[in-house]
Amino acid sequence: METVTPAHREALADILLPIADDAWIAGQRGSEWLGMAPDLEEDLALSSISQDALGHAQLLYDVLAELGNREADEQVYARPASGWRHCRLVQTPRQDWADFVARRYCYETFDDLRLHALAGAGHAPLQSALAKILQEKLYHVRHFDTWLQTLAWGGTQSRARLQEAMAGVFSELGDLFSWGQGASALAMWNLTALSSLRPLWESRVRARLEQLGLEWPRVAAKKSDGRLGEHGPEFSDLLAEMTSVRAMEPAGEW
Amino acid sequence: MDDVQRVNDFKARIGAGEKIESTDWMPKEYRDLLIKQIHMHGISEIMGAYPEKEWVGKAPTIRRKLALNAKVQDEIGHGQMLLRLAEDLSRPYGRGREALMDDVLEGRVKFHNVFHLEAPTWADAGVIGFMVDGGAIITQAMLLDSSYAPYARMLKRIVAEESFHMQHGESVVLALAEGSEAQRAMLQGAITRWWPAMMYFFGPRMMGPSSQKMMDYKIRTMTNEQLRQKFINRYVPRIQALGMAIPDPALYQDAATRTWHYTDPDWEWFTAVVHHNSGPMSQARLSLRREAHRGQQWVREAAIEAGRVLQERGA
Repeated sequence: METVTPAHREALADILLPIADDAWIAGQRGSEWLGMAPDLEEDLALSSISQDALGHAQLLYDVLAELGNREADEQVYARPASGWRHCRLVQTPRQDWADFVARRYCYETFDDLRLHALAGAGHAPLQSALAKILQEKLYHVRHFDTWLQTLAWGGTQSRARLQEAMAGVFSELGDLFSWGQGASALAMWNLTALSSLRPLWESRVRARLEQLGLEWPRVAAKKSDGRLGEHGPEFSDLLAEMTSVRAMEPAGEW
Repeated sequence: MDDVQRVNDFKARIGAGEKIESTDWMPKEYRDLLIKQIHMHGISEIMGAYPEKEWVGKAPTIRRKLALNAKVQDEIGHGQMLLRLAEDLSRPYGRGREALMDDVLEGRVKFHNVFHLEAPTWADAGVIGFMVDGGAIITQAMLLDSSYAPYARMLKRIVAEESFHMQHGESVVLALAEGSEAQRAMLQGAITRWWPAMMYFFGPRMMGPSSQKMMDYKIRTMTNEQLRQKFINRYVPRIQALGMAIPDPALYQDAATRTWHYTDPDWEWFTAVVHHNSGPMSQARLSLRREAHRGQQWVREAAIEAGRVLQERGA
């Protein structure tokens, strides 16, 4: 893209914000597992993944800042709940390990497809951020895929827990595939492929579940759309907690 | 079966400054002291994750959140390394990771007094890095010279990381010290809370019999009081440089002997906290550990089962 008009910049920001917010909230929720993972080795691995996710969000917030948004810290700490564009899937608080594995497997698989599709966008700062993100994303996908397999082959109880968790997660998938206000922006950047990721995701996940002998649960229709800033009271609570320390001196040095 | 001659030869090796490797013969007493020390050290690292973990979600900037997340991860990593060492030493007793982890839930291994206490503000998260990790560096620097070589080697890495943690804590604390009145008050509150706990941290003035034996075997090389003096000497100027007060009106340094005089912490109270897990946060933190360890036993069992299934399939 040789000349980037303000409209283009705004459109790209609409496309990137949901991706950045998904990563941030996934990192925030992932950090809730510190000291709580099934063993110490997983605690260490998961902490690295959470740090990566927060770092990916930061890289994208920096790209967004360059497109005209506020600086990264302001985007995280000074945005009202309605300004966030993450999906329900990453927002749900920590439950059990089966839920977390099912949830993150679904998210990481989708995010991986989405980031690869984004590689077609001709915006140099974004491409340099993506190069770093995709390198790490590979390991995140692999990590949760390995856990999916482990729980699937982990005996009757483990398989039942995973199957039940998968059904629960599928009931929260609705807005994962939505682009909210970003839908019309995709065409502007020749990124319409991003609006048709759902069948790709479904075929990849379906094949994996079949291979592991797991049922394909029903995907519930979306009840609310996180991509439009609809997150409910659960997110207001999370946001209040996340910003509570900084709220003491919002303009101060920390 | 430890015959006297063998034990004496062993003590002579240690006396001559030789280091012991895990494959060397060692008296049961030496092995048990090592297990006690390293197990407690490892479990303390893990329990130390909880007071700070609470603040990862609330850290006030992106940079602080990433740093604190990484710090907590390091502590868990130290716990993991140290437990592997304790597992190795416990092999003759047939005790592995599960048993060593059960011990803390069932009160058979203690953890450091500081991790039984509340960390009610962001300043506490900074002060833990600044003062607790700073105190741990003093203790662990002494252990670098431990007669048990695998422990000494492992501590090289741990001490290096603890010094990053201290710098992280110092950076948090400095920002608060240079901040608003509210930020400074929050910092003073945390220093006031943690000072007596740090006086207890190094142990009683008179060392107990097992600490004394650890000195004899050169597992450790300094007394509790020497370590505490080192801490006070290092932290009085640091805290004063922040413009913060040290909450001990009786604190002064004897000009002739250079010895610091200080108000004794409530020895009885802290000792009861450590022995009976009766501190303000002991049970809450143990219940987090229980949730992780017992609550997710099914996951560890599933992993073993999946490993078996996959091996059968030749995957």
